[in-house]
Order: sequence, then structure tokens, then C-alpha cells
Amino acid sequence: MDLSKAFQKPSFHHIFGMDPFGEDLGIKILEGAALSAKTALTVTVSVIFISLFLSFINFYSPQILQNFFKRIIDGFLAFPGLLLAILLASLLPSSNLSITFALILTGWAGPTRLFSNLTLNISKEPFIEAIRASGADNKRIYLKHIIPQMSNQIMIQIIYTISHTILSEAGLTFLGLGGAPGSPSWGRLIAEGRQYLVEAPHLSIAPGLFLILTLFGLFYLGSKFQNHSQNMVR
Amino acid sequence: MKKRKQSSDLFLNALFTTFIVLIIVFSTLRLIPGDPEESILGENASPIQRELLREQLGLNQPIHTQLKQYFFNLARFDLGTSISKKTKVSTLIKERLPNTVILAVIAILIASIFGIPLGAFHSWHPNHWISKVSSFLSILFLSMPSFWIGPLFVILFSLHYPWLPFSGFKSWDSIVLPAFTLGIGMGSVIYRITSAAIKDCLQKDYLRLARAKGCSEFQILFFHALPNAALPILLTITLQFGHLLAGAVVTETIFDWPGIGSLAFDAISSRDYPIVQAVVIMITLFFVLINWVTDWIKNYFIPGEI
Repeated sequence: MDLSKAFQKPSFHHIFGMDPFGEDLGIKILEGAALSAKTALTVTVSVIFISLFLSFINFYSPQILQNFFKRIIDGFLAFPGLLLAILLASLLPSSNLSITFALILTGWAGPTRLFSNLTLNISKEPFIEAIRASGADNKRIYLKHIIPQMSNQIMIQIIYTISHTILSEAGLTFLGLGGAPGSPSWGRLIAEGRQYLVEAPHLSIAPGLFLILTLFGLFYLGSKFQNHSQNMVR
Repeated sequence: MKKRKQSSDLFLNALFTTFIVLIIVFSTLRLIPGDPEESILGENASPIQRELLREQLGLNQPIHTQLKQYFFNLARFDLGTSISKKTKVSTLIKERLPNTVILAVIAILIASIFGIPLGAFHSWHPNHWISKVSSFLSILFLSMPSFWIGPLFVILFSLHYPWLPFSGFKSWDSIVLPAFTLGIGMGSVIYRITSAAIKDCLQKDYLRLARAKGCSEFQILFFHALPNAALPILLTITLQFGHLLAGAVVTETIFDWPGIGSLAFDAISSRDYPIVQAVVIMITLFFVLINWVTDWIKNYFIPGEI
């Protein structure tokens, strides 16, 4: 940490310049990338597992329980954008774990609804009946036959959840909700850079560019995969 | 022909959803790990402060009493008292809500003015350079979070060339930057939906009849394709409106726009829970209302597709 070098513009030695504390901004951005990746993977894996598990339970429950469950999911989905995450993260202690937790609670409902509906549709196919007749129990039917049929949609949801988590985590940390002042999260870097917009615009622009590139790439990947999976069906 | 859902079904849906939303918001404060008072006051609060806060929020009463009080207050539009500002929350919201509404409406207008014509053009001439550029730009803008576009606009338009104000709501100029920040993302969505919807219409048989009848291309676009594509476009706009309100929190913070978004942000920073709870409830219930209206419209025009 070398305060004499603080706020330097991008140069050959330090490609993205220096941050307010005299540290290389590029290194902070890379640390932020690691943080975003960790958060995104944690949230995505949790959400996908939870949603697949819950749609299994939903499928093999009586109708009353299914209706009740549907209501709860609709309730969670009624919160627009990041509102529920903001509410939760503002109450929990300020750390990355809280953000992960808040994003899991915000994000479990969407994939769960999708997979539940898909499971119900797939279960009406004749081949499921045939497999059941050949003696498979519920768990086996779900794991070995229904999930593979949904695999395209699961993949799309994974890509979508990863990109949505990265964006949401940046948004929440921008608002100041997660992480100590030293946290290298991209949202925090952009927020810190806002105060020095005139003298040192690179503080806000550089992390933002990384964020945009990441989201753009993931979005592109997702849409290409979607096209591919649609072509495969035909 | 699928059976139309009863309007009462949709109303009950909306009612149940409202109920669950309110329960969820009620539970967040009470079910988080740790004491609610600690979250709000911080770790160094004295026992006296905690006791006062507990009384103020009603946390020292049994759960069923709290629930009753919660719903009772909501029914009377009593949203509590702000912890830091000592005024009633509903007063604070009342003075700031019109600003947010103005911002949202203008953002939607900007998004529609740019999104719909470009989307129509894209579906009509997909290989024109304008279509390709706007298609690329729309994906680009969708990846740009509003908290990055905002400072970028400020840098471009306010700092070096003082064309437009970037803070507060002093004159009608100051609405331009925040509205564009909010509107760009939404414009991209509208663009993509418009082009998809019109492309869909162009495949239909009634268009072939229109061409066979000898209509000009202009007539076909405006009097045959667009009215049929209008429904999905309208539905998307109304749904995006909810996301717009949620995104307004960030944008209003950046531009110091005196609306309920920045109110929520200030409340979050100062740990003023009643305000945060009230804003979240308001925006979410409004979103539920919009969804209900959207479902009703969809049900009326496309029966059985909900």
C-alpha cells in the first residue's frame, strides 16, 4: 500500500491505474472476479440443487400440498428485481455470506417453478408409464429419466443464474450491503469510484468494463446454447 | 377453444400472493439469525436502546399479536414511524412517490420511443446495417448495469461539458439523465420483444392474404402486423415496469433523485428498518397489482394461456 501512488491514471506498469489506497486496481479487479465467481457458483449450485429437490417433492405430493407450494412460490416471485435481496441483506450482518444467502432466498423460486412444471409435463409421457410398469421407484424415475429430459433447461437455468447472480451481487455491493470496506467486489469498486468521478474516472469505469464483458459473454453463451438446444429438438 | 379463466380466479390469485408477500416481509425481520435489534442498532447498542426499539417495533409481544398488529396497521395505511427521522413513514413516502412515478413514466416513454420503431424495423429489414447495429447495441445495453451507465452518463454529459444536471430535481432538465439510465435497459428488452412479436406476425396467414389483396408494405406493417403484435409488447412493458421500480433504487441513488428509491437507500444505510419495509411492501404490492391487470388483459384476449 503506497499512498503516494494513489489515484494514478492507467499506465504501462499498472494497466488500470491505482485505487484510492495506492494499490493496483487491476489486482483488485481480479480479486473481485474471484469473489464474483465464488458467489455465483455457490448460489447457482445451491439454487439448482434446491429447485431440483423441491420439484421432486412437489411432484410426488398430494394435490393440496402442490397448490400450497405453488402459492408460496408465487409469493416469492412477486418481489420485483432485487427488492427481497435488498431487504434481507440489509438485516443480515454485512458480509459476502449474507449476500449469498440473500441471493439464494431470492433465486430459488424461479427455477423451482420451471422445473416443477417441466416435471409434471414430462411425467405425462408414455415412457414414464412404461418405466414405472417395469418396477422403478419414484426416486429412480426422477433421477434417471426425468432429469435427463430436462437437462437442456437445467443448463440454461444454470447459465442464467450465474449471470444474474454476478449482476445482483454487484448491485447489492454497490448499494453498500455486503462486505467490509476492503472487499474487492466489483460493485464496491464502482461505488467507491463514484466519489472521484472527475479526477479519476478509471476507478469506476474499469470494474464496470469487466462486469459488462462478463455479463455480455455469459448472455451470449446462454443465447447460443438456447438456439442450439432448440435446433436439437427439431 | 380453451376455457377462459374466471376473473374471480385471477383476483383470488392476486389476493393469495399479496398475503404471502406480506407474510414473507413480516418474517424477514423476525426469522433472521441473531437479534433484530442488533441488526438495526448495531452491536454497540445499550440495553436501554434495545428495549426502546423492541417496544417501538412491537417485538416484545407474542407473535400472534405482532401479526395482528402488522395487518391492522397495513389496512389503515399506517406504515410505522421512521427510526432516524422521527416522522411517519407514510408522510415521507407521500412526498417522494410522485417523483419516482414521473421518472418511471418518462423512462418507459423513452424506452418505447426507441425500442418499438427500431424493433419493427429490425423485423422488417433484418439485414440492414441499422438492424445489425441496434441488435448488437441492445445486447450490450442489457449487460450494462444501471449503476455503471449512470456514472458513465454523468461523465459524458455533465462533468466535462456541463450540458445536463446530474443531481436532484431542480429543473426539468435533470430528468433526462436518470430517465435515460433507467430507460436504456428497458428499451433493449422492448426492442427484442417487438422484433420477435412482429416477426411472429409476419409468418401468419392473414399477412399473406393482405399481400395478395395488394396492400402496400406500409399498410401491412401498420394496420395488420402491429395491432396483432401490440398485445405481447404491451404485456412486456407492464411487466418491465415492476423491474423498473426495483431498479429505480439504484438509479435514484446515483442521481440524487428525490424519490422512494433513494429514500429506501438512505434508510438502508442508516438501518432505518420501518422505511425499508414500507418501500419494499409498496413496490411489491404494486407489482402484484400490475401482474393481476396483465393477467386479466391476457385472459381477455388470449383465453386459456395463463
